[in-house]
Amino acid sequence: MAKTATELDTLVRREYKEGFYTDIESDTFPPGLDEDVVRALSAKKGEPGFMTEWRLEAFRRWQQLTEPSWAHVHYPKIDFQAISYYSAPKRPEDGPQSLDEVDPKLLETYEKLGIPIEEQKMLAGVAVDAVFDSVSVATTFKKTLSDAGVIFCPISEAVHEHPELVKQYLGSVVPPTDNYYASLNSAVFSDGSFVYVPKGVRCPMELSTYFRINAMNTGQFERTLIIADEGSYVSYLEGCTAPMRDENQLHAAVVELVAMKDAQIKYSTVQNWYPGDEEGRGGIYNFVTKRGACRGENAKISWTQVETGSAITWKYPSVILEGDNSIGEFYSVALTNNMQQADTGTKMVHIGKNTSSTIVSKGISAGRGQQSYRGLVKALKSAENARNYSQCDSLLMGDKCGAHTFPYIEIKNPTATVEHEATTSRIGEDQLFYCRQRGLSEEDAVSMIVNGFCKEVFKELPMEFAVEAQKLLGISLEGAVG
Amino acid sequence: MGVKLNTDNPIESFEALAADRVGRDLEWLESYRARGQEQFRSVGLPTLRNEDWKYTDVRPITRHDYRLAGYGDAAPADEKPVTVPSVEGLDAIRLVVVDGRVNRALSDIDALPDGVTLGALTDAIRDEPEAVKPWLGAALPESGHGFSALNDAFVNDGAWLRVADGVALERPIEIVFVVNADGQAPLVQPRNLVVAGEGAKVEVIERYCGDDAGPYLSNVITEMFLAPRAEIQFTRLQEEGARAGHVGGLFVRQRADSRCTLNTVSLDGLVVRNDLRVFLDEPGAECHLNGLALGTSRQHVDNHTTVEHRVEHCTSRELYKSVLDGRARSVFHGRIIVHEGAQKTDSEQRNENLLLSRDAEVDTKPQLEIYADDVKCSHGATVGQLDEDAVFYLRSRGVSETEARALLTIAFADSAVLGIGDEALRAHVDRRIRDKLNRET
Amino acid sequence: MLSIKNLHASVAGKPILKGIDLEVAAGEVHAIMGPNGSGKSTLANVLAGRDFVEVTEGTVTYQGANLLDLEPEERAREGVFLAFQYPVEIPGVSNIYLLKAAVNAIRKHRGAEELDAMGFLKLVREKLKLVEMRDEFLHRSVNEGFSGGEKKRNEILQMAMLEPTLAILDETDSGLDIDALKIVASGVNALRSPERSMIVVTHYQRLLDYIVPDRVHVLAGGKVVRSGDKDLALELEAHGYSWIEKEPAQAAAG
Repeated sequence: MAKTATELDTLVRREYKEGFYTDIESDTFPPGLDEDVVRALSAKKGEPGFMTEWRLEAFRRWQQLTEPSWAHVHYPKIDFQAISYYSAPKRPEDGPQSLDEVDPKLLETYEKLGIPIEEQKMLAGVAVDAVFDSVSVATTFKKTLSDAGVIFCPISEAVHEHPELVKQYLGSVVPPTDNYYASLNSAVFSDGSFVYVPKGVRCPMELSTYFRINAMNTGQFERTLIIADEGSYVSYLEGCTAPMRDENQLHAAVVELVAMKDAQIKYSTVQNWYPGDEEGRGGIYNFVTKRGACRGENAKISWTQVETGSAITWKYPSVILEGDNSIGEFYSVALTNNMQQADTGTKMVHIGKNTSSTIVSKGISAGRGQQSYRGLVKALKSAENARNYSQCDSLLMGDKCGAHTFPYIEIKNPTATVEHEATTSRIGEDQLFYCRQRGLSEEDAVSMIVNGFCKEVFKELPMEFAVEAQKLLGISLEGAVG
Repeated sequence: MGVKLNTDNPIESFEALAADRVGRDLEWLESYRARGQEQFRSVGLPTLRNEDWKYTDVRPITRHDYRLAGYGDAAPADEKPVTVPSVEGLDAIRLVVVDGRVNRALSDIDALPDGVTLGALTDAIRDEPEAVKPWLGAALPESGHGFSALNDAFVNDGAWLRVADGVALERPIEIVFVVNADGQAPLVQPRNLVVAGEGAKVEVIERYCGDDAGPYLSNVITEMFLAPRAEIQFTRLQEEGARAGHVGGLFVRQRADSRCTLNTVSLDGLVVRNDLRVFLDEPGAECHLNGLALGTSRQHVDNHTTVEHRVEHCTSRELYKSVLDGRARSVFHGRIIVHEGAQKTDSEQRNENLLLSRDAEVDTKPQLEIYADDVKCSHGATVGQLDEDAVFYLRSRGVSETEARALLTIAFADSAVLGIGDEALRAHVDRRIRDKLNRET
Repeated sequence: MLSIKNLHASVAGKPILKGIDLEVAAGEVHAIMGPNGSGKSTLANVLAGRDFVEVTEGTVTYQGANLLDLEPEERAREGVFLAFQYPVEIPGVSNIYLLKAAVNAIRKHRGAEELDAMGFLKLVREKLKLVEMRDEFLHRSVNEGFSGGEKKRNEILQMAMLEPTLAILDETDSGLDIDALKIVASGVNALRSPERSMIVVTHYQRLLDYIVPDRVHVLAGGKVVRSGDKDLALELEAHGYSWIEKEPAQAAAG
């Protein structure tokens, strides 16, 4: 399936001889975005015609859209023509050659998180031996999955291997026209994961460890598509507690989930990208569109996220509850420290009868961090007996941070029951003193109280992730009180 | 009287009224009006694209050719009989405003207690312009919407109430706004100013009434100022005509240790929009906001509230409820803003909604924006039905199901009007709630 | 053990303690009584290191060292325990988790081995009996949704676990019915030992029927106006605080 480099180059040369000026010998496109770049990108990946057209359509729509400004975040205008939209995977000799060359602060964090040394190398981008253990581990995982009939592969591979599934589902939950960043992603997405769990199959493992190792270099425009067919179950873990080295400032990912009748998808995220320094320099802009559709009766989609990284987060994992009795859940812990800004929340759209949704959002704001919860609960006329419960709590640490809550509730069915509760309070001086009077250091006391505050969310995370997330929270808050 | 409002070019209407408006020789007043025109030209009437109006379509109340009322020397209403609906048992000092003009003959303001000034804004501008000047527009936010700009541009008459330092009134002040639609589609734009001195205490009741004969629009702004330790108990009761629009602004500034209760009760009218904004400007200020929207048939009630905690140690409490039947729709958008440095803020907000029919709809948007850390803020919003346990409990005590539901619905609505101070007024509102719900359910 | 000399302290600029002198020897139980606003709780808070109380004058020496120099957690690790008048609720943090973290922080400070899970559980079960509480109590969030009696019993449980050298009980009897009071008092009595001193702050004499003090001090207007043995408490009960409050006024007049 993989074409040789020369073949690709020929393809590119042939199709774009007029408009396309890039040095085709190079592995990285020069900055800029137009239709030719989209075509070239698609060609580089050897995509079938339907994908190229799909991307082009998305690009055309993107050009008509304007960048959203409603979120409660501030950042300098992004020059989308200054970004390079294709870069080949890094060669090992470009990265640091050993851990000695890696920023000691990064290593310190890895230590605190208890990450094994080989994995530290992977995360820091250190060149590793080709026969690195994990690769064979990954192969074993792959065998287990394929025995169960689960398809789990890079989406770039799925385009070739399972075009019928991709055609049917890609963009069916987040259409290419959905919003500015989703359109951009659709036009230029780099890579990401594809999961298909066949009817009645319970995915035999958490799709996590494998991902942690293989998800490197998916680039800044990640695209994920997960389909759980009737009666199936899958738990998917994205991200990593360890801060990853990354040169791309803008990340605009799209994740689509489709749960058919009686299927269940559990999607957990731990996001700890570089937040920038204390003055807010650098740091990732994380503009993500995540949405799931409960297409059949009794389907269930559950999002759990722990967001501690990125300079700016703009993210609303949502569930469209189409099937009767379907369930949507959103559990979130978001932490902003120093100059971080986060505008995050969820949308629960109740369409089917007896649909229910639960939202639990815990925001922690420290330093000069600004954090907003933005959520929409909507019950359409058809949503007989829809139920929603939302709980949004904010914890403030320091008098320069902010916490904001913007829930939208739109109800068109009189049998719907919606309950929204929100509180904002400071980390209790009384609680801190109480813990210290019992002999705990101030930092341990803060960490204990904050973890207690987030408990309802952590318990939704798979065990090992929950433990890491707790540590991560402690580390992210270092220096927040004092 | 018969100048039509040209919303595309209000200046034209303004010119036409040139001779009729009060205080043309006052430079500050004329430039205030000019700024209103300017603002209106730049923002125009709101549309659904505007975030603050996304759930409220104003076209049903802006599509008429309105006749600007409230100008000239004496309202023609003086010459024809006007019925001013009363509230049974209400013993109040009464000011009556007919078609946007204060009507002395119908008012009862001849024997005011010492330290109380109550009368027409036009008179105050004419007689003591310097007393009015510091207050006019002083409680409004920097940029308002089109309706508010329109009121600014045409500011002329309304109620002028001043209570001197230390004066506590025993009887409430009742201001009744009556509109005779009379097929003329009047646009009335009263501007009311309430200034309470240090430690002053007063209850103010605003009642808006009109006939069902035709469309009209009440575009009202009330500004209230509370000096240190002042206390105001305020109720705005909307019983507008069935085809009327009501856009009501209520803007309050509170100084140290002052306290106010603001009740907004929306019972009638086709489209009602309330904009409340309270500035807690000095420590120790406390405000209580209560609202009830009781919508039936095609009524639309939109309550926008903003409480700004600008300094430390202020308290705010808010309870808004809606009960909706028929094709009625209600919107609640409540903002609580805690500014940087406003430590020890204590704020609570609740919004509860009850839908009685399949075609009713509710959109609610409670918001907290907090820039200080030592605060206690919470909000809650619910949409739901009657508590089935309570229905069952009543039935098990022998009450019929229909009756049980009616009782509980009324109880739900009633709890939002408990903040009304005057007993006669509260009884009147209770009666109206019962009548309306019994008629509809 | 504890020596307080000429202690002055204020809260938000307002002087509350105006020259307290108090000597507590090892193994002694001292009761501090006084009317509302006399400074009893402020004294307890000064000893525990609450930062809203500002010490303006005087010294507090604990086991030969300046107690006022220490951070609250350092005092705790050195064996100073405050049973709070209003125990704090910490949602999401289980009782047992806090206990374990505290016990191990203190053990570590003393150079002792941290307890393993089994050892800890054994110890905590033993101490639970002391305050007549059940296992499930350990897995609830710290003080969250506890009744008044449960909160106070929880304080005594923590005290039993942390084995302090100096325990300060701040109005531990407030809000307790007689049965709960008896449980709390017997828990406290079980912890009396020649190495452990206690300061029992209370408004009412009735607690002292169950926890019999060696010395009783009466605080009024920020000063110790009377000291005596346990009979002083009974005298107070008989005459009321007005009896004692007159005294400093007389002293000032004379």
